[in-house]
Amino acid sequence: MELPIVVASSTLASIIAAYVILKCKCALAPDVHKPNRPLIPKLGGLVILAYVTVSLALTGLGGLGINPTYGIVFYTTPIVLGVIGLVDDFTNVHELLRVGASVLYPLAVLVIMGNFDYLYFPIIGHFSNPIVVAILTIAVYGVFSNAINMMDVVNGVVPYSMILTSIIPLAYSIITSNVALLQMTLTLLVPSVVLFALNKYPAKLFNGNGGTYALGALVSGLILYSGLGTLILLVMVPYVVNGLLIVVSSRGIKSREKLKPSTYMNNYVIYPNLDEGSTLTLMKMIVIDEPGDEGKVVRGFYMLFNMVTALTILLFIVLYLFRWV
Amino acid sequence: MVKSALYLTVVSWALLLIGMAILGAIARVLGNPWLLVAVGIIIVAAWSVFVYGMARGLATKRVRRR
Repeated sequence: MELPIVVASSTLASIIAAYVILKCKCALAPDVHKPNRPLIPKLGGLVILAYVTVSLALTGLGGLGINPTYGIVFYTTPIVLGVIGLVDDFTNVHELLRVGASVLYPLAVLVIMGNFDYLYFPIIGHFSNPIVVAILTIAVYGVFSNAINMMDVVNGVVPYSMILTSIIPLAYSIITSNVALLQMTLTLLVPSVVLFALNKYPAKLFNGNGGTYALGALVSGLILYSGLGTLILLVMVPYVVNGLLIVVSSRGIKSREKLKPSTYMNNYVIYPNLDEGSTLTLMKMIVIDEPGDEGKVVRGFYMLFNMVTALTILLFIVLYLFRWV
Repeated sequence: MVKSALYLTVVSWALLLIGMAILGAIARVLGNPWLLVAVGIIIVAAWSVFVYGMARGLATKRVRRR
């Protein structure tokens, strides 16, 4: 099916999903950073799942334009992890099961399909050894599907950063008329725009674990299969830094409820938690200079992502001019 | 407001880019995938230790100034 029809239908499905979630007022969670703690639906994951599922159903595995094995990994992993995340939104799924699924599912598809192709990362080069491809798949899916979930602490930051992440692959797919890459990029960009419209500060809809795991899987797929992995990784540096700080300071992968809070709130102003053993996060680094309300913290996160995106776009232009991408 | 976080992020970005450039240079000279994986792990480990140390240092410095 033609790409514009696929994109239009998938976008419509994602908007309908958002409308249904807002109308049904189910799976509500309190927005703890706002006065009166308003109850907000936390099923934003359905917006992503609706887009990816309709897009995959209309295109079919044969029409994806990339290696079929990688196509299956790219389009089905967000569905699998998104469903696990939605279950996690209702009943707590053990963190090892979540992390295990994010690593084992794409690996299982690679092993079962067995049709390995090379992976290309600008600046670094090609990887064609099947075991190295498997190791890279495990590392990227394991890190990013969880790193995005760790950053989803204030309104709007995750979908905003996903929109910025899409800029370089979108530009490159248009410049090179690469339809397969354009479709992959739109699969991340379009539901992120829909989600951002509703999740931006002050939020009407939360991404939920379903949304963050699905977005994490989509961005992991783009890192591995777009041929622009190095540049996407550089735009995602705030996620990597935040994940590193959390995992090291809390000595391992723990669920959000088991972490010692990195910040606390007084009169809706967010302060850094200076207690011994409190978790170190990027949000704590933001408020450690000057405490502020949620709006200020959100603008702080936006500034970090704007800066790394601007630097990476400059790098992309240089690499493109020298024909290194 | 975000001076410490911005500094940490930009330095991490630059160090990661340098690390990947080193990895790319080694890949062009040697070409052995296993050596590349080993060097990649060393670079990521060194980057992680440096970034975490810098974040801890920045946080401690800010707390002392309060």
